[in-house]
Amino acid sequence: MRNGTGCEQVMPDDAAELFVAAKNGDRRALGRLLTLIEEGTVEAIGSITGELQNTLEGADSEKTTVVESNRGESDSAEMLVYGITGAPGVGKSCLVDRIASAWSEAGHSLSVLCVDPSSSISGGAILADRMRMSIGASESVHIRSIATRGASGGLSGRIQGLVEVLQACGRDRIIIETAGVGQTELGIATLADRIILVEGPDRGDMIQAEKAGINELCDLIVVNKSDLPSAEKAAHDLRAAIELGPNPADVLLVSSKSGDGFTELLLKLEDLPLRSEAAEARARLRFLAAVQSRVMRDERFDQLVIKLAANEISIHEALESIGYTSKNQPATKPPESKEPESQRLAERKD
Amino acid sequence: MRVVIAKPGLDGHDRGAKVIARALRDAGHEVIYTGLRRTPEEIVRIVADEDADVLGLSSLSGAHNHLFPKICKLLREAGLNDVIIFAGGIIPSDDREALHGEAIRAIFGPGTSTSEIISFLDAATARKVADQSIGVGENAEWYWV
Repeated sequence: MRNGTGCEQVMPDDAAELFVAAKNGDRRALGRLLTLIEEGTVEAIGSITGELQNTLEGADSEKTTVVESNRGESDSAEMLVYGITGAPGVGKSCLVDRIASAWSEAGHSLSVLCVDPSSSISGGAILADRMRMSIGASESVHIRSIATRGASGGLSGRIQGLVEVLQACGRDRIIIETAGVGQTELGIATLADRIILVEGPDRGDMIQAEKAGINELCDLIVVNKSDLPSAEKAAHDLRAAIELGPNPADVLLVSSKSGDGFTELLLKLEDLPLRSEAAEARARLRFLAAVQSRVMRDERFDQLVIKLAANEISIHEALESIGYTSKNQPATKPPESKEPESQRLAERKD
Repeated sequence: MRVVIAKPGLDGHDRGAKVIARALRDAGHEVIYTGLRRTPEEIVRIVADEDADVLGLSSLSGAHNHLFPKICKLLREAGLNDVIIFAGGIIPSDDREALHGEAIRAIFGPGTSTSEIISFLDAATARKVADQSIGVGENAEWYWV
């Protein structure tokens, strides 16, 4: 059961056993292991497989093979993570379904991570992406539904951990499907090696994407629902809008319903270069998401928020408490400088 | 908890299942809905892949007598003994004892309040924490009335 119910923690040895079983094809063990990573019982950041590897080497080094899980090397290798993102309702799940079917038939070992938002009120979630995918019926395709679990849920770290384990278990292609609205989900897209933006045929969808700036981040744009009359114009408008920018992404027109355009899409995905223009924007977003996550996981964070709200400390003091010093100011403030924030602001205005 | 709501068999509509799903979400659970017409094998695989704590089976057209026990059996065979199972839909009272015998811990007919289902899940969690039998592969004596 989940840790929150007060059950005893699973010891690292169990995680190592689960990992070995998962690598050998035990789907239940894989499911369990992914849960441990999601809950942070097994440390997800960094070299999770390295950590498990250390445990395994202590346990039984003959059974296991050395796993290289250095993601930096995975670009040229066949292990790629594709982020497929776009506004709700554009047909991402159907698109992912077709792509995953094709890849599965071509012999790839595939995992699809479907990310859906958690309710900010109850903390619960309805994870309904997999129901739209027929590939869920196929044993060869692994699907896992993931709830965002709120801003402090550490989503990026969790997904990073899941991806590393899945790749270590032999999944050579991973698709992360996310709604791409809001900072949290955009941040997820940047975990992917390649980002594909899915648009619908309505102008409204596109304005959303443009506002989010996602078309700067992505490597390929797919306009879905080509069976609808407005789609072709939408694709044309989109090409026109981005062609003045540097190295614009390709815009493909497909119909997930009929399969039109998929031959070209699949070919494109086989050899999709990373847009270098996107690399910096993505690195920035990824770094910021990581910093935010790190700050929010600091045990002093909640207390500092309370003090800030009560005006007991200033933003500077809060930042310094958790180690962020301004280069213009001394590392530690003298104890007598407890001026209220408003006074400090007034001074700055002069 | 992670709850899979599944509809085995040939039911054509799923309004009830969706109502339950929303209620569970509002009570803080993560609900994975499988969609219509899943086979028992698919449902078991989904439970394993999603590492679900609970499986809710819904049937409106009489699939329960045959398919529900089959799903319970497949879960046990797959080693998923600790998954908590409940059922809903059109299930005549005469059929319920047999289902409880398969360690289906609660059966909710049409018109059951969602708060009752939430209460059941709370009770089931309490049993689990206390190491009492509640999973599909464990002693079948306890069930919700």
